[in-house]
Formats: sequence, C-alpha cells, structure tokens
Amino acid sequence: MAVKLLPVIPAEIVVPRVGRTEPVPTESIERRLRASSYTIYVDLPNNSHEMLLVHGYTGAFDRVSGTVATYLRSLELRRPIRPLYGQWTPEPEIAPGTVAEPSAATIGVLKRRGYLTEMTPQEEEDRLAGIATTLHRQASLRPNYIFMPTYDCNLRCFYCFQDHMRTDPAFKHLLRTMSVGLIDRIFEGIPKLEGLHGLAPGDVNRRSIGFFGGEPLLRQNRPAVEYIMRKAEAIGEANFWAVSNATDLDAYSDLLGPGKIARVQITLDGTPEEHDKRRIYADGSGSYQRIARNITMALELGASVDIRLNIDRNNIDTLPALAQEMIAQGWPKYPNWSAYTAPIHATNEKTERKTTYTSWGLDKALEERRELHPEMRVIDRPDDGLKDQARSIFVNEGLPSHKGQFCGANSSMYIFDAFGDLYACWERTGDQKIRIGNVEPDGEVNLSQFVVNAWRTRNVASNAICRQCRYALHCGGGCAVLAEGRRGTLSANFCDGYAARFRAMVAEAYLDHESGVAMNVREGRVCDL
Amino acid sequence: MSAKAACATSSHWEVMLVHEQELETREGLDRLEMSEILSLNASDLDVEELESRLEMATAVPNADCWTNVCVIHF
Repeated sequence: MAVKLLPVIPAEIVVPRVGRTEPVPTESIERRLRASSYTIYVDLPNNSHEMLLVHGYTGAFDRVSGTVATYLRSLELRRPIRPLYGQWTPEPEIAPGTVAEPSAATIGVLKRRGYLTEMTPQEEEDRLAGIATTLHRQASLRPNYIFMPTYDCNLRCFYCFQDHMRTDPAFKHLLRTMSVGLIDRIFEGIPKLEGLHGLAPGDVNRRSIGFFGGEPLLRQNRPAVEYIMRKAEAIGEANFWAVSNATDLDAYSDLLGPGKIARVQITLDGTPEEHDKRRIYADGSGSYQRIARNITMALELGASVDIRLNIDRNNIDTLPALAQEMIAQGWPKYPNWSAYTAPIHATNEKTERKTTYTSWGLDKALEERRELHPEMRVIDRPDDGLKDQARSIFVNEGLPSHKGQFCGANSSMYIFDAFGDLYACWERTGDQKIRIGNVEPDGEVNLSQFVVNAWRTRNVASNAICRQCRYALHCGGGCAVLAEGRRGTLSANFCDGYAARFRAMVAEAYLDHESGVAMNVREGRVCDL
Repeated sequence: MSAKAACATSSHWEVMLVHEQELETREGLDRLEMSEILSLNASDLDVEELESRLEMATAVPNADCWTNVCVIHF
C-alpha cells in the first residue's frame, strides 16, 4: 500500500521569513519612525484620557495616555485598508495642535513593544506574513480526525446545511452507515496520513477523535461508533468528542464520560415550545424532552456538555425563558455544563438572510437583553470566548495565542465519511468533487493535491487583505466556508465585524479586570461557525 | 490652652492637612502624567527578540496551538 501525493504540511512558499529575505541595500531606504501598521487602538468606555494599545504581531497589550495614543496615531502612514466584507469602526480624527511628543523613555517602550518602527510597510507586512507562516506550519504538524458514521439524521431542522441529503431523493444514496470493513481500512490509513506530516509510528501517543454527521450518535450507529473507539484505543490514547442532537444519547450511556466520549455539543433552539417547532422529527413531532433527559444523563456521567443555541431574529426573544428553563433543569450547577449562542447563517433557501444576525449583531442583541434579564448570563454570547482570552492576558500578564489560520480545516483536520472519502471541513462533505482524498477499497490512501492545497494553504499569509490586517493573527482570516458563501472562493477572508468585536471585548475584559469582576473559566468550543 | 488658641491650632492643622492632601493629589497627578504607558502583559517583551521567540515556539510544538477552533481542548 502506498500514499500518493506528498507532502501535506504547507511549505513556506508564501513569503520568506523575516531576516531570510534577499538583502535590500539599507542605504536605498529612507528610514523614519512611524506607527506600526499593526497597532490596534482600543477605546475605553467613559475614559477619554486613556486607551489601550494592542500590537497585532508582538502580542503587546498596553494602557497609554491619550497624549501617547494621539502621538502614535499621528505617525500612521495610512488608514487601514477596508476589509472585503464589512467596515472598520471609524477612528477619531486627530484635532490640529493636539499632538505632543511623549518622553524619550515612553518612545523607547513604544519601539520595544513594536508600536513604533522604522521598517517600511512592505518589510513589516513580510514580517507578519513570516510569523503567520510559522504559526500555520506549527498548526499543521499533527493531524486530528473526525468520523462521520453516517449522513443520515433523525431530525429535519429547516436551517440544516445538509437538509437536501434527507429531503431530496437524489441524495438518498448518502444515507448509509460506516461499515466495519471501512473502519479497518481507515485505521490502516491513519499512520500513513501521519507519515505525510512527518510523524513516524510512535510519535503520536494521543489523538483527537471526533464524531459528526448527519447525526453520529443515532441508536443504530452504536456498533460503528464503539468499534471506532476500540480501534483508536488500540493504536494509542484518544480524546473522544461528538457533535450530537442527543435524541438517542441514552443508547451511548456506557460510552460517555471522562476517558470515553468526554465532551458532547448538543443543540437547543429555544424554549421547549420553540425548540419543538424547529428541531423536529420527520413526522413533525418535537424532540425537546428526550434531549433534555439525555443532557442531564450525560452531565451525571461526567461528560462535558456544551449547549449550542442557534439564534436568529425569530427565536432570540425566547432566550430569557430558556435561561429560566435551564436553571429549572439544574444544568448550570454542573461545572461540566455550558451554553453558548451562535448566529444561524443563511446556508439554504429555507433560511431568509434578513432573519439572521452577524456575530457582532448577535453579541450586541444579547448584551441588550442581558441588561433586562440577568438570568440570561447562564448563556454565553458568541464573543465571550474572545473576552475570556483578553481577560486571561490581563490576569496572567502573558502573551496572546496567535494563529496563522482560522481552524483545523486549514491545517490538519481529516474527516472520514461512510464512503471512505476524506474532507477538510465538515461543512463541505458528501460531495466527492470537493473531497481532499479517499481511502481505496484496497486500503490505499489518495489525496488530491489541488483540493488539499485549496484548504491547507489558506492562511493569513496567503491572503493579501489579511497580510495587511491588524487583527489577522487573532482572527486567522475567518471561516473559509462563510467566505466562499459570500465571495465565491475559499481563499477569501471572512471578517464578520472582527475589528469591532475584538476592540469591544478587549475593553470589556480590561474594565472587568480593573474592577475585579470574577473570571469565567470556559473550555474551547467545537466550532464557532 | 484657650479655646481661641485651640481653635487656631486646629485650623492650622486643618490647613496643613489640606495642603498635604493637595500635595499628595498633585504628586498623584504627576505620577499619572508620568505614566504615559503601562505595560499590561509580557513586560520584558522586545520586538528585536521576536524571531528567536518564534523559533523556540516552532521547536516545541504546543498541542493547544494546533487545535484553535475546530477541535476541542481537553
């Protein structure tokens, strides 16, 4: 058996690293001190005398006087370029006569932390791209895996991006369950895939294995899921997790909990009444009560349960009542429970765009409702994770976790479906034309270099907009699938109001830090799409 | 000490106290003005050392860094 088409770790083909570029005669460049192109200015609410500075690639966070901020802004060479999607929040104009030079010591600190530079804009862009490329390579070192035991699902949610698979007979052939023979072949292929990432047998002693569908934890899928877990445990340790509608979770009770399927993301769509209008069985009946029972069961077994709430303008006002329902169920008392919101995206013709929110719009709408309904604080906003990251930086005085790409689809995630096809992103599955490869009946693994490259070379450095964006190493370029939906190409960026969201969350985190508000501890989520 | 003298002394101390408070306030303002920049993280950060920091990060793969969004942190 052989693996075709090497390698899959992205090469440093986009830009050379800083310091390794062709030498440019320094005497030909006029050096002058300017504000770094990657300085982020964060206004503090009700504080006109000070603001925060964040540097986009050094990772510095600083509080400065208005005088210093004005001085720095006066040395900006140009306004930031417009994002392809959305607008930056406008920066205030600098009033004439308001620029005063800070002390030499302050200028020294501004230089040391990256806010002032003598690099040309191109040199600095190359530096950012070099950092992004390094981070992307690092992220691509170790593969992680997701199994889709079936595309079938027992629910018929109107907004599902896979709705056609269950409702259009032309796709009926997709609704098979992964066979034992195919699972064996996939596990023969996994060491070969790891070899493509430069990993020898024995280099990987713990793997991340997820289950996604369709509905992966259907009652009838149990033998396949259990067999996958046993196979994974036979070649090393594994962390198992699942995205499930939880209607049949009771069939997996002995496979749930620490050391087994340790984490499950489960979707609710509002109060029991609202949920039962939206997440329905094929016969139109509701699913809430079964799901609620299974959530409590999973929590009792020690599994972490992340409740995902898909929100649009039609169900947002049911959230206060849903928060009360969650409290009545007793879920918030479990440390292994959390609930978060995500905007519904118009991914099929049954979803009207005008009923949807952007991430920023949903965040603001939830904040307004939290003021009126404090019980809604058991439900996280989409950007609470962003705020937590900023808060962690203020508490620990450490550096942010920068990223060169948005998610695992752009680095090292492999998704196996019930046909042995391999995909990069679970939002783009079930169509052989877009698979990144497949496991052949004889166990051979093929990868399509063209499709692999389309996904795996998408990073901050490969996008001309991201390379010039101050927020790029925090945002990673946004979701490829949403970018394709809006711009027609996976390689486009998807900004989703990130600049405004980032600044608002950093300011909130700082004010909370200053006033000693207790910090939430949240673990990472499955996918924010 | 007469009541008048006591009152004068008290006033004197009150004046002194106010003066000291003013001085403290002014010093506080001076300190505030001197604090043009306050580093909130990584106080030893130096952009000149960025490259070596990245080299080190690359040499020691961090599992958390390759599981940013789509894979759960355990």
